[in-house]
Amino acid sequence: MRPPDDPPDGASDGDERLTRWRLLLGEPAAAGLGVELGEDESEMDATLAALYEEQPRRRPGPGTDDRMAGLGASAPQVARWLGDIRTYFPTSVVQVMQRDAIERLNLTALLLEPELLSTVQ
Amino acid sequence: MSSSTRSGTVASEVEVAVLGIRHHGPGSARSLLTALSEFGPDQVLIEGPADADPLVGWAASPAMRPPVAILAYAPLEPRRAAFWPFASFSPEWQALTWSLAHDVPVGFCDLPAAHTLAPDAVELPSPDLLGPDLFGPELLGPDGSDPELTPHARQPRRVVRRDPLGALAAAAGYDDPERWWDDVVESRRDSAPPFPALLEAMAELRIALPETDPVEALTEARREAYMRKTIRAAVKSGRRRIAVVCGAWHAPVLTWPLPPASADAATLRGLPKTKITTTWVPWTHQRLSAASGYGAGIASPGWYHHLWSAPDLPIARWLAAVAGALRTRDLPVSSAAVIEAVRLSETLAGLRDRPLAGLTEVNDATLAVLCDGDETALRFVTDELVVGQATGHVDPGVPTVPLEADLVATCRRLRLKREAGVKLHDLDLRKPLDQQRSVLFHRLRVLDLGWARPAESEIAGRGTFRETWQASWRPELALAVIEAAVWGTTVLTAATVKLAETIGSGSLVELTAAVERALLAELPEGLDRLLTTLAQRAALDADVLHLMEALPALARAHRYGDVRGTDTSALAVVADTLVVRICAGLPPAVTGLDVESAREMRQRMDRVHHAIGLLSADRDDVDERSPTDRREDWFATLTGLLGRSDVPTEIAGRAVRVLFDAGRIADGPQRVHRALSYGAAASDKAAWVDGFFADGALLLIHDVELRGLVDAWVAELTDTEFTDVLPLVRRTFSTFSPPERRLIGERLAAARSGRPTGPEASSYDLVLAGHALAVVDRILGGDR
Repeated sequence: MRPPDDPPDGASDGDERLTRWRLLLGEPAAAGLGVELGEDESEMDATLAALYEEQPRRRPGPGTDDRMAGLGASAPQVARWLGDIRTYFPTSVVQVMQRDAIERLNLTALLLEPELLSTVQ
Repeated sequence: MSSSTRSGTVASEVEVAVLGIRHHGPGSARSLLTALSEFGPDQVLIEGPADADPLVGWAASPAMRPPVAILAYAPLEPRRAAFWPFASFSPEWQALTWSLAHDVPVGFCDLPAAHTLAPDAVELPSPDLLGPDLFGPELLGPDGSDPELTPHARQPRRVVRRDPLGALAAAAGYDDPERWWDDVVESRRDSAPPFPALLEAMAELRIALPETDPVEALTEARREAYMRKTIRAAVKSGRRRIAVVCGAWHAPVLTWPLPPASADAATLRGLPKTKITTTWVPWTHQRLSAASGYGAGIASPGWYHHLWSAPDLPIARWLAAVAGALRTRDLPVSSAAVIEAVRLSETLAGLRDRPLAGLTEVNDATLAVLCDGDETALRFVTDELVVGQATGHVDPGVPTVPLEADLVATCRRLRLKREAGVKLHDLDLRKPLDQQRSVLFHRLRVLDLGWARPAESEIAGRGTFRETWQASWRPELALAVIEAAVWGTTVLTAATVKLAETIGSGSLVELTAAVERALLAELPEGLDRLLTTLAQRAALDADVLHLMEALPALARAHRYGDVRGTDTSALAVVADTLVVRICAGLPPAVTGLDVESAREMRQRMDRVHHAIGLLSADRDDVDERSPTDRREDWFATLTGLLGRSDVPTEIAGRAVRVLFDAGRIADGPQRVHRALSYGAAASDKAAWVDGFFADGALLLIHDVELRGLVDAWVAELTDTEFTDVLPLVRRTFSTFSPPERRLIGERLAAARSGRPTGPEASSYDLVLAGHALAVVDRILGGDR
């Protein structure tokens, strides 16, 4: 069942597969998989983690993730996040993620800020 | 003008002693009692709503224990209400009890509640800081909480007017007005109470801060006019020595001789009026504290109560009490520490140029010495002692609505106390007392009386015979009881009638929720009518979504019924009908759904599946009356979805999973393979994965074949496809717990490198297993 696109380089290579699984499962699986992420991939992972990992949103202090300590925290962080997801993911998926962000992180109030409105698809 | 000339005879001179007090101030209360004893009045007038006069006699009853409050409300619109709270250390309360004890006629002299609560009143009067606690339709927050202190109320004049003695204390460098008062009284050469001097000070303040807001000015004028009117009436009826107990601010305008009555009559002409009822209700120190936000309170009722009850050595006694409280929390506090803390408080007072140590000094010493700098411990002290948990008690004979009387009697029978502070009730429904308590709490919930809320239990065992409630009585609930009284005279009848109201208007979902509540609250009459209406409504409702939403509550209700021994056969019949109609209506309903709707439909399906499981659960013996097992119908419906191409992939995936788990299909892994391989767009496949693997971490951990299939799929995606599906699949997997994800990672890595992956038994020792299986079989109740 090979897809007609170019077959991925080194898809049969274990590391590539494990890296994909690391991205799919997130940080908790890192210990089990035993694989480190490259720089680009780390950023992708951080973007996803900001949205899909349960974070103690109430607490201001240092978050589990340096760059995105709680998406719901401030408008600049949200703006940056919105830019990031467009860098890494295609349009259709971006829409789904934006919808999820509004729902899960209660960003409705933040999204009314004019700077953010212009960045939303 | 003077009554002596009018009557013609030489009447003795009228003497009016105006005793301006600080509301809820123990120092004022003490000085007041001294002044009253010395003055020997033949009439006492207290600042309070004049139409509450009939309630005065109850204050002498030994069953009345402050903190209590006068509640005035409009009977047809109970939300229009106001409270006038009294603590044991309130000068007004002390004046009341003193008068009753000495057989001196006593009454209230402020504007009647009939005027202040009238619907077309100019405005609800702004409250004194320590005066009436006023509610009104626009003043109560949406959940019945107090609104923020408005900017209007924070203007300087208003601040001073609300607590003029506090202002004087602040000017003297004190932040504890009561200690300032104690100092003033103690340091006077003569032992006469300082009321005349206070009156002069207030007069100066009033001149210095004239009221600019016309509405405020009018309200104040009306209240003071009415007070003067009451004094004149007392003189006219023959009293000669009148003591007026009022907030210090009003004192200067109530001195004898009063200005002519005509001006006051003009001010009071044409005031709107409404019918009101007054009663006594219990109050709490918590409610008295300024933490309630509306500004009508004092910050430290517990401290004031202490100053009142222990006038000698207040600091030492207080810190000893704090030490005691800390020790009950297993925090070590030695007697030496208490002595140190006392010395520190007094030293601090000296440093701050205050002759007497006040609450601030005491709190500082507590934090530094007794709590070792621990803020949490200090907060506990504040809640327990500085504010205090006291709840008042009202004589049961006070006239009140029948519902309140029934509630009080029921609470006494069930040994439940309505008290402030949060109390956790862990109820074991197998015990009759706890069962009845549960029923009472559920009935109160039907009536929207928010005294007790269901809570998470700290005890691990969560069977259906365990219920945990969190109870916290707030004084405003007295108002809620009065409101609920329109439904009936007892808790049972009121709840039944209130529930019946939902029958007429409710949707299907609301009806099933009402059925659940009726079962929990044991309202048998309401239940029958509800079920009939429910069956009719279900028959008419063509929307399968409504039916799916309505089913879970019915299933739960059926389950409760089994546990609580209620007859649920009628319920089972209705539930059965619903299931049949859901099975019939589901196949057409799943076509043409977009992503959002597909997700919602899948969640509904999960809940319906769970509900059907509940309904079929206790089917031990074949009972002709019990409905047939609808699980097979449900599985058949789901199987029917599998062959179709127009079903959203998320739902298809879910159907496969449910049937796979239930053992109704044998080719689960093959279907997974097919779904991941053929045709559809990557996002569709990701949706299928979501449908199948949601809540399925264990599948990926233990099922080698399934894991292998998904692993192969992930490997075969192109880079583009991978980024397409990554967020969606990540979303699914992020619902797994971190340990589960780690395990999945381990298994995948091990599979990759061909290492053995831990406890994956390929064969079982049947002899050993046989014994264990037999025991498990017995536990699950099967000699089937």
